[in-house]
Amino acid sequence: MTVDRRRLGAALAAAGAAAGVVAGVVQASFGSDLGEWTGAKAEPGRLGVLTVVLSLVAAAGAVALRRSHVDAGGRLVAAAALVVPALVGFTTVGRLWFLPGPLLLLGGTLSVDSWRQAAYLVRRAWTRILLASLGGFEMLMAAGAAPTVLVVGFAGGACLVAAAWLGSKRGSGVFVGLVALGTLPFTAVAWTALVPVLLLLVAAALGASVLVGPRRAVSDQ
Amino acid sequence: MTASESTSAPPNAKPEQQGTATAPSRRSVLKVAAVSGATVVVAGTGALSYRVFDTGVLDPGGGRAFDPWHHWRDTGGPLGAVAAAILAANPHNSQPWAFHVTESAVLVYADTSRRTGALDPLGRELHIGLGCAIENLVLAARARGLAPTVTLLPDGTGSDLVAEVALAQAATERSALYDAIGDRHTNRGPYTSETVSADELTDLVDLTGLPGIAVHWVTADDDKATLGRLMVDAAVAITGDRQQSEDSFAWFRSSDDEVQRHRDGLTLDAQGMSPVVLTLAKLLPASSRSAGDNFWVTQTRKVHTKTAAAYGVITATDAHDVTTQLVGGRLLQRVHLTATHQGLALHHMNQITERIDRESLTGQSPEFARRFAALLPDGVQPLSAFRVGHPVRDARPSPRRGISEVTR
Repeated sequence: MTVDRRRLGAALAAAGAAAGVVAGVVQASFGSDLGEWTGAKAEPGRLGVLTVVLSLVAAAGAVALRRSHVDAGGRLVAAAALVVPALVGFTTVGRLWFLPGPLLLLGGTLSVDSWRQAAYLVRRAWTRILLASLGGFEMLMAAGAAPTVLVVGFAGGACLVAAAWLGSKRGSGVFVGLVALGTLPFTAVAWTALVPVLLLLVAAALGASVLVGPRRAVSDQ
Repeated sequence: MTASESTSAPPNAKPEQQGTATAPSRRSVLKVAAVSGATVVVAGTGALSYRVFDTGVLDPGGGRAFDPWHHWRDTGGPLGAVAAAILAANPHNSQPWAFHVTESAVLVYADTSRRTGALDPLGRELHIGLGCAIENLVLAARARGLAPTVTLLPDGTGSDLVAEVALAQAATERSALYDAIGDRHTNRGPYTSETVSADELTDLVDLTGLPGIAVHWVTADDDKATLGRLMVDAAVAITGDRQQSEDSFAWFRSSDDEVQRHRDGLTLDAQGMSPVVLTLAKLLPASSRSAGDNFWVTQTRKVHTKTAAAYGVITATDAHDVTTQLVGGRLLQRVHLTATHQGLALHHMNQITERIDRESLTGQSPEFARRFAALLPDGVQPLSAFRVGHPVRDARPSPRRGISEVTR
């Protein structure tokens, strides 16, 4: 029953991700001609590309769900990889997301076997979830930035997510390095926005908290 | 750790999850408090990150709304001249113009749907802005090998057609003023204490082909202080006039979405603030009309009038004559381009004339007309005013609609 449910969730998620890629391509190619259907966005090209990237993240989550040996922590992360893009997508391509969004949300919901266990895992990994959220916020800031800052911000955000994923499992040096790479370059190129400085300080505090906590990666939980 | 292990391990091992009534330890309370605090801080960081994104903090002057500043030299012929015309100074960045372009002429129209209401009830600023656009058009036509002949109001004063610029083939004539078109921005920031000499001010004014107008400079400290007080009083009066205040606020664009969608109006980026103060202003919630009014009055009192090296007033014998307003606009644009070329900053300050026209239309006592006239030579009226000086920091561009949106 659980396996069937999980497979159904993965199938729905895969369909949602595929539809999301199509929605992103349509937004990038014809967004300025479709008006309200694509949310009448000022920069449809950039938002279309962002939607394709989000859909690919969701596709990776769908693929992960189909693998039989994924543990509970891995499934939770895969579910997050479906739900977060599903929610963000509602702001990027207007009505074009009315199909992929619900499919991804449904897929993410079905992929959770036990909500009680999920809540426990979330509680255990909460500090690293906060750290990963900072990575997402960094990418959000970078999404509206000039090209150089955009690249630095997306790379930095990815480093923070990777640090959150690995925890101190690969050694504290790797973890500290990822947090530093995730914050310092972005702060250097975007300090006038002030928030990158705040993000650096918060990430440092969370990183220290992770280091003094149990040595465990999300995938181990 | 396997899936089955992680499934069985956690919840069952916790006594509190089985409903056992155990008093929480001080350590666990502190831990919950720390985690809750961290969550709140991260959520706050997320909210601020969204503001950074929403207000374009990390890409000021970026996006489609600012493309005209980067590509105005790219297009040749009469249409290329229009690309330069749309970068002209104009009231509240309302861009009240439309153009009809042919091989041999550009017709310039007033777009009366873009008037600024009670701020410009008599159309004075509208026509001055159109004059500014005509000057850019003339300079850009010459730089494209087209000799312009300007006929103002070819259909008379009642028509929206304000100028016909006939274009004939000629040698390319590129000037310093033409090169300054893309760098000319209104600088609302502070100016340094460095003075601007009388010779420098004189060099700013070239009246060639612009009859019936002049520039009166206000440079003496006492006169500057008197004019500065008048400007502050006018700003206070405008903010106290609900209709004028609302009509001004209607042109304010608070988010990057609004800027990119409308491609006109006033922005935080163009207010001349320091980078850090500008960021703080963008991170805070969008300001209300009254907050915006207070900010403007404070800036007028503490920055604009306090740091002006000199004031310039374009004068005419009849400031309400439309032809004079168009010619005055051409002179104003010429002065601003020359100042840009010379590294000087310029800030258009029209609150006094806005109050003069408002008082005239509503039948109020002409207080501002009387006070302004006392500062000017006999027999002339003020058409437009501005301050000049050496800038503390560079001005930033204002959003602009593209050629396709302003051509008929």
